[in-house]
Amino acid sequence: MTDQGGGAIAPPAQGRSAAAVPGLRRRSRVIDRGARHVLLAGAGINVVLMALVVAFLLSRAWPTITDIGAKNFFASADWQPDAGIGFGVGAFGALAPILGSFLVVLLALLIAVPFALAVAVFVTDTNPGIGERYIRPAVEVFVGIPSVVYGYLGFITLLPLLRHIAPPGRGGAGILAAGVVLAIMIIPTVATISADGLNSVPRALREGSAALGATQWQTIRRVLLPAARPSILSGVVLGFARAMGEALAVALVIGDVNVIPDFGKEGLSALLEPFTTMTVAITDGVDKLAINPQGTAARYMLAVVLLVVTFISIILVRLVGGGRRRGRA
Amino acid sequence: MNRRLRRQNTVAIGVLRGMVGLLVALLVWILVTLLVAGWGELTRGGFYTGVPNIGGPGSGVGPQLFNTVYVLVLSMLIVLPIGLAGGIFFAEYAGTGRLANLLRRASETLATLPSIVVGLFGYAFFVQATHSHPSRLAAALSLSVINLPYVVRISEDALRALPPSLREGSLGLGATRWQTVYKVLLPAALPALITGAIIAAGRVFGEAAAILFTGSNFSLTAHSNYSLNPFDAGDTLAVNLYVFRIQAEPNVVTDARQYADGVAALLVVAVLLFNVGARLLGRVAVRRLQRTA
Repeated sequence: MTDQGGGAIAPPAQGRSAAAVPGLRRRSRVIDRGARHVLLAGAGINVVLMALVVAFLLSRAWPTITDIGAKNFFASADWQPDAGIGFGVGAFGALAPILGSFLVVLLALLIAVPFALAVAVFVTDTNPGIGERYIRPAVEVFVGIPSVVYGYLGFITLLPLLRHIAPPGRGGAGILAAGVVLAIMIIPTVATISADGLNSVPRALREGSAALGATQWQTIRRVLLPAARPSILSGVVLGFARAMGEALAVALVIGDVNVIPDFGKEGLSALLEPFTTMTVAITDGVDKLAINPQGTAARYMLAVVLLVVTFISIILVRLVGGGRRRGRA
Repeated sequence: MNRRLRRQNTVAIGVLRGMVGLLVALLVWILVTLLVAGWGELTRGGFYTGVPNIGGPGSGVGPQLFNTVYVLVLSMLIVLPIGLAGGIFFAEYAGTGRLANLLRRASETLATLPSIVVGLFGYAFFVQATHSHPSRLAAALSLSVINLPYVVRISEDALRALPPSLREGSLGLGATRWQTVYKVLLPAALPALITGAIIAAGRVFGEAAAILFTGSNFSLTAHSNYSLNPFDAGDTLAVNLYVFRIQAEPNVVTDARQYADGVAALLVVAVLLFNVGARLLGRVAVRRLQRTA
């Protein structure tokens, strides 16, 4: 087996160094400059794509403002975009999907964050041996499982369980099921980023705390977690963004009903009610994109809202300043 | 006081370990549930070659499997060269100027976009603006948009992980920057690049929302009969698992349930294979680098 790496490490061994021959040298300069431009194009296409995404979403969503009106879209909860297509009887009040997205994601974070932090502390502090060897690789595998599979799993296992306590008719699908599925989906994300933050807490802090007589738990709670707060917050925000944007997993388990549950009357048991989210409302229209222009425009408007949420998340991550060193995504 | 603190410590650490144990048990349960449910289909040869035929005998995922691989290869052909170029630029040319910062931010933002948003963009740009219809090419292009920032990052990381002495030595000997990249850095980073490419491919395998909007024919039973035409529409495995909900109630139709269980298990097995493959290659890469160092 030829050792390609070794040959590459010592290029002059190949003989013709460009510096040795004047004509070759000019040619390699020209190539060098050309390569620079090609590579710049490879990096620059990101900006072009981002601009195209914003331009296309805005232009497709614009009819929502002109035809339906911003007030009717953002302040009404009457969402029937596919009712009587072409007869002007559809309703495009997006309050229910917008509210649903935030509600479901909030619930998912409430469930996911404690578990994610437990994993992060376990891996970095209480049991680094087992943690690095088994837990971290296992968690990484679960980052890779397709979200639609998580949704399907919820569909075949969670819904039959919830069916017995949820209101009849929707087979157990609802806010709680969606929250749980999303929580399981984002635990690896939040845990990985938090663990990176905990790992980069200086040893001196840990040792200083222990030397002062603090118990392990005191050190974790009062020293490590506060010191790693920027990374933990970044992890939570990115988990939030990921859960917000998830479509199919939620669509499989939320029940897809455009009526806001009555939390005032039902209390917490309203979490068992079926509901909808922005991504689910968009997904519903996938087979009517060409035939329902008004509904499609309203769905593009929901995508614009998701885009804004994404932008805000990125700005938040920058503000808390954790996790993303060297401008990495 | 001291005893109270010690008891608090024991309880808190115990709860923490308990939560991790619970989570690990849950993860194991997830894998076992999916694999056990789909085992019958996974071990049946016809599953891989048959066509979806809910309610009838000999149902399979042949066309979906073909479409998944087709879209995966097509999108990798698009995204790998562009992403590698971007990664090289960020690692070797960009520096920390204002332009570089803008480019990095764009890449970061693109990486955070929900795939359904990319799906709607893909429909508007790759399908409508080109006056065509949903196709595997449009799906592959949309997947490339999703994967581009990721490929850029793994390429940049792979180059940055190389010892600076490689770069300095080559430049010191009079090589131009491009010669350094092409003849020294890329060969040395090749193993890491291959690992990254495999992980990127794994991401494509499970992506569904973007394909649903740009390349799907929304049908459990319609299929493209293994055509090689990139302008044909076609559902992938992951899309199929969703479309399935529209087409059939899995808890009512037993055949449908069995079929979907098989698809889910196949996706999980694929993810595991991609993961193990990337890990093994990574290990081989490290060993080779150690030998040459």
